[in-house]
Amino acid sequence: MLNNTQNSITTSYSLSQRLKDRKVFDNFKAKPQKVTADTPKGYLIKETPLESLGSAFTDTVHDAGNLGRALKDGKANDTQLGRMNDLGMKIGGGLIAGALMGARSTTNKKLMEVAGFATFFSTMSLWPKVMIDLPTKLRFGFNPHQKYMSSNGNKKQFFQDNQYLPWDVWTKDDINKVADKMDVPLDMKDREEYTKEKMRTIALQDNTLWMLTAGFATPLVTSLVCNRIEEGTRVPIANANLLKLSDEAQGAVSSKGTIRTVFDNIKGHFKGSDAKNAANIFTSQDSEFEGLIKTLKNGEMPENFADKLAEIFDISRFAQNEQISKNMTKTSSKDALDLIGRLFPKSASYDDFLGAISGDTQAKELFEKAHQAAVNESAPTDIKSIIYRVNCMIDENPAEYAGKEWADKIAEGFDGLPEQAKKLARSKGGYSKETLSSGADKLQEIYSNGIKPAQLQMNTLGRQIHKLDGISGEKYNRTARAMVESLGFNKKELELLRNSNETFGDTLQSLITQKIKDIASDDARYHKTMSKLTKERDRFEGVTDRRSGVRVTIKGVFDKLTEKTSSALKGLAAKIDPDGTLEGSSIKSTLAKGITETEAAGAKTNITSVNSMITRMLGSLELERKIQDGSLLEEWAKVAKQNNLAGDVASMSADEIENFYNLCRRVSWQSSYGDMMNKFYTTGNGGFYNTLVETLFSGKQGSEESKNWQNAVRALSKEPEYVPNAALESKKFKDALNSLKWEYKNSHNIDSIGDIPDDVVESLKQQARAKIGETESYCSAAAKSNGLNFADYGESILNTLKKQVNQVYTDKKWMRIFGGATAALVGVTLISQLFFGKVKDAHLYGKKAEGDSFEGSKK
Amino acid sequence: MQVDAAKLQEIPKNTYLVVEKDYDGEDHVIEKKPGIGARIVADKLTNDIFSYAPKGMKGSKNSNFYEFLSLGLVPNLIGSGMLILVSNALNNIHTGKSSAAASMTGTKFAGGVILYAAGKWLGNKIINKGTQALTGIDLEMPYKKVVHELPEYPGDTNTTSVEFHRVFESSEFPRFDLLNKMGEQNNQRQQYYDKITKKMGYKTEPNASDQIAQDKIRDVIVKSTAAKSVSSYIWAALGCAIAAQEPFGTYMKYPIDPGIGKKIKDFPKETWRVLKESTKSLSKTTMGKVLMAGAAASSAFGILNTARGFKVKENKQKSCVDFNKEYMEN
Repeated sequence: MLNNTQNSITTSYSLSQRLKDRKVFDNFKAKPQKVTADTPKGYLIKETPLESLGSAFTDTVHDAGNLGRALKDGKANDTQLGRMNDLGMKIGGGLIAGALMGARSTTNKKLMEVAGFATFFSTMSLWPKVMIDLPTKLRFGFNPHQKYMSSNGNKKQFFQDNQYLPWDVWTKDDINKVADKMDVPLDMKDREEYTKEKMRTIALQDNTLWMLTAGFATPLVTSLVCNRIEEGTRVPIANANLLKLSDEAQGAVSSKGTIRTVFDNIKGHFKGSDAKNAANIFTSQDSEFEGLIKTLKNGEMPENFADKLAEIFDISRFAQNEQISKNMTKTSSKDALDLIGRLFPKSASYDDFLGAISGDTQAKELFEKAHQAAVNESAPTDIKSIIYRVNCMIDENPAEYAGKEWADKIAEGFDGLPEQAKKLARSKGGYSKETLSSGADKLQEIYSNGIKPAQLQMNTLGRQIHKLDGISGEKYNRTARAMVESLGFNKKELELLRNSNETFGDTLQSLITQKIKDIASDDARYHKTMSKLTKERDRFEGVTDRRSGVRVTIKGVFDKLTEKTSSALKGLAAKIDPDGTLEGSSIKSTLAKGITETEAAGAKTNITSVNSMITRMLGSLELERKIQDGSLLEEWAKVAKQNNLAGDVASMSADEIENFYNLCRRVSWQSSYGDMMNKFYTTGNGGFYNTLVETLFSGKQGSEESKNWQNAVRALSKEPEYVPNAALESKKFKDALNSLKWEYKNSHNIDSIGDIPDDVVESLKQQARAKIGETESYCSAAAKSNGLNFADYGESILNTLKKQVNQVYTDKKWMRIFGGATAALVGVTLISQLFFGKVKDAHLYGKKAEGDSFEGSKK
Repeated sequence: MQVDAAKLQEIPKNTYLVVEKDYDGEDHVIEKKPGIGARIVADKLTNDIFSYAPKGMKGSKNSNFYEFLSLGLVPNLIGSGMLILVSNALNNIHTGKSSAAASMTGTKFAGGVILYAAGKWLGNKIINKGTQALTGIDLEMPYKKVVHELPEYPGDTNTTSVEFHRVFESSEFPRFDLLNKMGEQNNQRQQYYDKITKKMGYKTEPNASDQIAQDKIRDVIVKSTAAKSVSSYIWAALGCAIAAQEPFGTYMKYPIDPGIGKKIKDFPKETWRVLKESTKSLSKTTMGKVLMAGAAASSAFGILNTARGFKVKENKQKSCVDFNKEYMEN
């Protein structure tokens, strides 16, 4: 090509030019530049695992620097660009974890998002290290992911490119060490070359195996590890949250510097502080309330004042927790009317009304128009006479105006008044400007000193109970699982229980009975199971606060939280009414009663049942024990005798005894609280039930906790205000009320029973209660205390197990499939490596001949 | 400076070029047609299974870096499939409500895996297309590389293999030679560089457009690759976050199985609905806003930064070389 060019150029250059060129060429030939390759600066990187962790960190920092330079100046080499991709992947992973954390509701789930990504990336990097590099290192003495520093200063993997292996970074010693480990014969002619070839082959095979297995390994191992992490962190995290709530309940600020505080701060930074949140929830309400105050200050009564005020002053809704709100009395428009009546005393005389409008030019104008209209109708002509006419109207039919909003009535009934005047009369009806203004002030004071703080308290309580619910939920699942596991179902039984949907209840019941019987009859197993379950209960019930040594339980925290809110509300009741104007008002009494037991009970339902659940399980084991050693019958005879019941055990037939046992089992663990009580009470066997409970739960055995629980159940069955069949009673009540409503509708000519005024409905309710012979408290307490009963008594064991068997089965199946798959993958990965390292044409490497220099390390 | 036009005329142009040649036996740029990318991926995947993996497991001398990189497709695909499988395998073993719940979570997870890939692809694509629009450089321009291997066994005649690369995949060694070759086919060796310099703002063709354009191309490769390596993962994260939203759990969920026919019919509409609702739901969260703004900003920044400094002011001086002067040796 050079000649070609020269030839074509020749034609255009002068001869002298050619001679000059020639001279240059001769000169070059005479003084040849001695250009040699630079001395290579590359070397193998030999790091301990700790060092490599450190350099992974510094490398990432370098990558970030390189990224900045690349973006700024457009200068980077291919290796650097390749590494930036890894950096991006890490950034992306962090972002995903962050985004998913935001979408999860509980701490554990949030944590799992981070743990998930951390595990995913760790598995991705650890899988080849542990499953491929380590076996290779152990068997062949070298790391197939060996790194080296290139002469250009790039850190690279030595065996990354099978066709570019810069062997000069390896010393002879290093290679011979590998050769020794590989047992390459010392007398081989090209020992080093053979070793290199073998290393190349193995590294390539390792890399290929890595690519083939990584796709399976990373998701499998990640899911298995995360599954374990989640199981392991569930209870500790729930406990940590419980302690935090306990701190909140005591008003303690957690000590600064703990990891939890840091985490909270970060979280707070993203979500906005509590104060900010609190401000946010009041934004729309504040502006609505200010609107009302503004109208009042303008000297007018706002439209739908009572309804609006009722909504704004309602405290329970801010709990945003249905379990709390549904049991709390809502502020009704009736309550609001009462409050308005107290804060806005009406001017008693018509003169005041006149006074209220006389200074108002617009009013004057309007009433002059009214006067004109009155003239046209040959009516009295001055305002006084209009008012006089109003007087007459009232006199004509005093009953209609008695105790009513007289100004409204005037406005409505006065034909001569123009529409605007009527409106004016309505808005100023009976209230002087001063009254409205001072009432508005008072209202504002109540709102900011009492209502808003109370609503904030409820909001906090709602959030706390929501958290507590979550904690309890985590624990419920673990407890229920521990119960299923304590019974020791095998795979076949789980399968059977899962698939026999129709006979599920019966199959499960008989199977569990058998399981419990088995455990109870075996001394060692019985004690083991009892102590295991007791331990589980302690573990799930609460946690010991390491800072103070105090045991914190879910139930205790719940009580403390409600107590705190309750006393705060009570304090506010005094604060909003220093002068006693609100004495007896519904708003004050709502605050003054705080959180009642009934209200708390509703919220407690799901939270405190964990304890009772496991106690019931323990009770069922105890029962079976008592049946087997005959002590149950003895106790029964004793109690029956005390209660003067027919309890002659000796005369009972075997069938009768078996029936009795089954009855006891039903009470003890097969049925729920409601079921069990209702069945006895509706058949008129309440007394028998009480005796049975007395026998079953007399607390002879078990821990303090069991005794407490048993005493609680015994107490429950005796308390008269707990109506055994609440649903039945309230149906009776509803029927009575409905028939009264229909009577009222027919006699008062109302279109539908829905149109009956609220106050009438209230009085009908009283009548209905009187009719069925029920007191108010009797009925409502029963309806509302169901939750409390459930919480104290616990779910039916049968129910718990029904729900859990499926979960346990699925979990086990999942573990079998994916655990098995992982084990198989590990096996394939390890076994296939046994066949690695066979060098092609190995037979061509001859023996060292006489006189060949030997370069091995074992000289 | 006065340039002797007559002398310029005398400089020969392309006299050494072969005008017509069949390049099939040599490396050459492939004309971009719709679906060429998919065909290349399909080729890689087929080769992964039937050629590269067996070669690698045997320890063949002919295994090269391209094959190793192509094998990366395998863990990507298998891994995505496994992730979906792990989260969905037992949906049917659950019963009733938990089955539905598991299925919803599984759908979100599967959606996350797919939208991650889609987001990453989109993030790369946006910067590639933006760069092409502003600089005229098609970063995805594919070329076919013919590799001559050693015989695997005595008498092995099948020693040629074909690889698919991108002309601009390396910032250090972009295959400028192939661009030259591409131009030569049209008797205009500098054709591609002329195009680039025109895009750079030269109103007339510079004498040595390759000298000017090649540096700029390297610059663009580095800047765009760096930007893509971050931007694409932000897009991927956005994809994941969209799939994590509540509405995504309802994707293709029917109370009663309506049969495959209806499912296929509903597929586009349903996909659009779920994407729209999930995006809307995500946009209400702080993190969602951050991700959306971040993805858009990273793309815009990536493109603009790549194009930064690409344009030049019209260079009136056509060449620095004074052809009137004669060569002097010092």
